[in-house]
Amino acid sequence: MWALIIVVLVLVIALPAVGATIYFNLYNRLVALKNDVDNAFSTIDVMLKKRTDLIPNLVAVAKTYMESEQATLTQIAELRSQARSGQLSSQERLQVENKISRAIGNFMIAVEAYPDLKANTQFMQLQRALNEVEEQISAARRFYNSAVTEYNTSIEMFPTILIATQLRYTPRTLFEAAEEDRRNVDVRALLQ
Amino acid sequence: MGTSAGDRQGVWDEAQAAELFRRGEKLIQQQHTDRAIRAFENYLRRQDPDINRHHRGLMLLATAYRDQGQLDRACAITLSLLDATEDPEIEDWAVPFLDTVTPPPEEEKAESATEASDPKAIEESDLQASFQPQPLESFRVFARQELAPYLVNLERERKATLRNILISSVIVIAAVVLILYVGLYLVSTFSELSMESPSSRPAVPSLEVISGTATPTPSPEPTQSQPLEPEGRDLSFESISVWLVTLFLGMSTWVFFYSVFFDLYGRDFKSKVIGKIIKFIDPDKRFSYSPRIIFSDTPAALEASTLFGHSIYRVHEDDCVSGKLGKTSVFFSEVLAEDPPRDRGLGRLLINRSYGTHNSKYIFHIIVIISFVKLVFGLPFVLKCVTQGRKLDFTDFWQGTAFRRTRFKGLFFRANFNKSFKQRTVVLPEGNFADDVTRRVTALSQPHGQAIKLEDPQFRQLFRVYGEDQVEARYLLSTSLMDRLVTLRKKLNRPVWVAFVGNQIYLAIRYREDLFEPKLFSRMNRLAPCQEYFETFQTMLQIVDDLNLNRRIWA
Repeated sequence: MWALIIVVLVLVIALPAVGATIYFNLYNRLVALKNDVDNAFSTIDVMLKKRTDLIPNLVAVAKTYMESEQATLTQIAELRSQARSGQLSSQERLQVENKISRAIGNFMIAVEAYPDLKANTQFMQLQRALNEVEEQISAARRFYNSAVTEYNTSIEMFPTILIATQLRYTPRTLFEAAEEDRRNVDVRALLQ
Repeated sequence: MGTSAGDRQGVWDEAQAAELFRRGEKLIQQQHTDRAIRAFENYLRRQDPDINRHHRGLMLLATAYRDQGQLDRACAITLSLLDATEDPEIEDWAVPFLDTVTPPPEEEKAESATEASDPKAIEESDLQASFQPQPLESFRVFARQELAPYLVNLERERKATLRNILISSVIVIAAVVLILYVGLYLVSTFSELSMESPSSRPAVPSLEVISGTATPTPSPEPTQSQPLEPEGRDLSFESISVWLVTLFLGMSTWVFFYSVFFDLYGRDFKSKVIGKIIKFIDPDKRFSYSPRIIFSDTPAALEASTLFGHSIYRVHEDDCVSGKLGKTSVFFSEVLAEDPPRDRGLGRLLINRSYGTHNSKYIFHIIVIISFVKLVFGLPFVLKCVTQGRKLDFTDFWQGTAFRRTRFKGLFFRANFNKSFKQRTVVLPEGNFADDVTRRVTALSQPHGQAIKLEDPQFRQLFRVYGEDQVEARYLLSTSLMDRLVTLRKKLNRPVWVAFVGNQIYLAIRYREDLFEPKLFSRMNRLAPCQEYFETFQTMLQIVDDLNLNRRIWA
């Protein structure tokens, strides 16, 4: 008789306690992963901003040497002010940033024809700084993808899927290269 | 340069000098070479009361000048240092150092092409910057011509050394047997005499296990004891202590002979063989080799790398190679880092006790206990060293090397990294390790860092990454670097640790054996050992190119 009461008490008290603990752990983990994703996204933003900050210097140094490339330089400057305007949706912002990457890439290839500019120390420093920023943007994107992968895996696995549907967490998209960037670069076409 | 005696205006006091020196040293370690130069120039404006530290400051300044490309200044300082002192250790450092700061004229032009407007000059300096490995065939030819005559002599020396060791072993065993015989005879005689007095010590359980394994000679006791004596007398404390002390002294004497003969064997091996191999590998003299280095940064570097934890008790360093490839300064050496001794507390306690009591009876007990402990720990250590053909240093052994655990043994490489970064990232080997040194180092390297999951699957199979910043870790470990690390690891085929700390990259590669030492138990007049040395050096020097450390396109 007492045994029965004790068993019932255990079931009534202990089981929900254990269940609640497990639930809270999973919930917290899921929230932490979601915050990781947001954090990673904002670090990409930080690196992109670093790049836009370099652009005015680049344009200023290059202007004096590259008289025949004014069109390219003005295009880059315009794209920069677009990115900084803060009035774009995130989809548009992504497109502008991709355009900036391509424009800078083309610019670097055009620079090959100006040995004086290439030898200018200030320009070389800027080039190094740009390389560093590009690599850091790439690192930030890799971090973002890693965070998103973990997050997506978590909300799709059992039992966290139950908590996720309750919180209405949806899978996020990974950062992917734009279609134009996926095509192999035709260097000859660029150098014409 | 204001380094001649006449220019110094006054003397620093000890605290100022120490502070300035320490600051300069730290800047050197962090690779802020130009600031380090200014700091040392400031330090050298006045005389340091500690003349050794002053010399050391001059050496570091010369090294910093060399790293900045101001070779003429480095040369000038080194020459003035050689003039100022007769210290042979400084000469040992200076002579190979001078080799690296007096390059042929074409090399100077190529090195100053960093800011040149001529793209072709930049290309040339790029070629200069890479290390061209020598093919094995030409090494074979070289070895046959240059090394073979010395090796034939070495082989003769080796056989003589083995003979000497054998003879001394026989002598030691004979002496041990004799002393045991005499000692036990005396013990049993005295115990016979003390049979009249009631003070007889109780029998101690037999420790024959030790005596049985340590010496093959049969116990002389049965012939000594009288048939009427109780059996406990044979196993009395005195006889056991005679065994222990004699065996311990015997082992120590044997170690002494072994270390003396081993030391004499291959005295000039390093200069005749290793030095020549390095010159063959590096005909342009970009690297300097020294078998030993007095003032070495390696202990500080080991700590800075955060791979081996703190408070490394002692570091033995051997075979140091340093130099510069392109813009990368490189240094590597064979390192043995030891933990603090385990028995420190016990030993001190015993010694204090023995001083405390003036009772000679207890001192004797303590001697016996110490002999027992040293025998039990020392014997496996000695056997391990001898079977691995390793050197055994007598003073080290007497001071208790057997009690010190190895924290790391292998090659330790460091270079300044081509990307600048602020936080620490470490790459540790993945997997279950049979070797407990590997396990311990991996455990010691982990603290303060989050696990970083990288994308390359092959990389993940071989390595685990911990770092303080997720984005910076990925910035350092680009996909290309991950690929290169995998290739390097497969080439080396042994555990590798990598640390990115303070703008430097540190690599630790685990080797169980002694590298670059003449072998005692295998024939030395063959090509194979030389080929091993050659390949190890080449692999290490190629790390700069393998990891593309000379690609300096980032800020």
